Amino acid sequence: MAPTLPSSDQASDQDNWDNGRLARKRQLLIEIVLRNRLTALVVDGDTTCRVLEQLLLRSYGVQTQGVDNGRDAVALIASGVKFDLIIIDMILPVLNGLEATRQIRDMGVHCKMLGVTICSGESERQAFLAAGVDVFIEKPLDPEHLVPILRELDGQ
Amino acid sequence: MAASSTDPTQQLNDYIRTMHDQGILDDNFDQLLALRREQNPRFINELISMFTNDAEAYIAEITNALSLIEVNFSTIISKLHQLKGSTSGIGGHRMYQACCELRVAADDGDKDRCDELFLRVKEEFNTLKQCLDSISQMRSNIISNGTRSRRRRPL
Repeated sequence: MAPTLPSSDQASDQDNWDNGRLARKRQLLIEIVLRNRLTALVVDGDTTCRVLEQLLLRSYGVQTQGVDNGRDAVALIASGVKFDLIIIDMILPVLNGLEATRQIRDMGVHCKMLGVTICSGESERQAFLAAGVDVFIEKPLDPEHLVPILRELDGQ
Repeated sequence: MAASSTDPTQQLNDYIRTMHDQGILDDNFDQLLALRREQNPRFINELISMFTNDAEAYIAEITNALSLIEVNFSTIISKLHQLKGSTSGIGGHRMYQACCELRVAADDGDKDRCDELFLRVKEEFNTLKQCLDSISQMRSNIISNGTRSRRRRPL
């Protein structure tokens, strides 16, 4: 079914709802001011997801780096680069997110790791937590989940 | 004084609201709009273009995987995972739902069901693409004309 155009009638209540909905979204993007410079690594095989997650983090002032597979994530961490937060998808090319997480933890990395994935069940959640992520959330990454984590990392 | 329906920003707002009403877009698209960058007003258009290009590539790969004599369900599941993720991120609600249904069929290894549901994924992608292309065009016109609503922030 092709998208249809709106009618010419305008509903002021609906306009208020639209503006309210967007205003709430925008408010969540400005309600946190970080005192410290935080850094984050985003590991996602999909470009759109990776860019979106990095944009969201940057909107809070977090410096970000992105890689598109688990092997490169492990190699980057092994090279000595440190991050305050790693956001990692479960399903990744080359080296999957579960194994990449295990290898990163085996290196003695204790930073906050946030496991994200799409449409998962309880078994996937438990597996990701067992691999070493601290928090598990369903995609897409949203301010409601991210803001408390950033506040914690910032010592607020 | 209420903004007229010929106001480009109001037209864009109305269009997006209609896409919500039809289930084509969801709140995740609103989150994208809230990430609007003043420094690069075209970034949403760039993101839409990125999503569309990647989605077309995933769909092509799924098409190939389904066309094999021995269907490669592993590839289908892998590419579907990425397609679902980006679709969810862009806020493509109906397309996302179609992808979830296809995922079930792929997990079951049911080729006939995969073929049927993949058709729906492609239909919903075409619908979503039309919607996003329209939004991109409207936003480009607003940005080019420097049109700003005094009562509403431009999308």
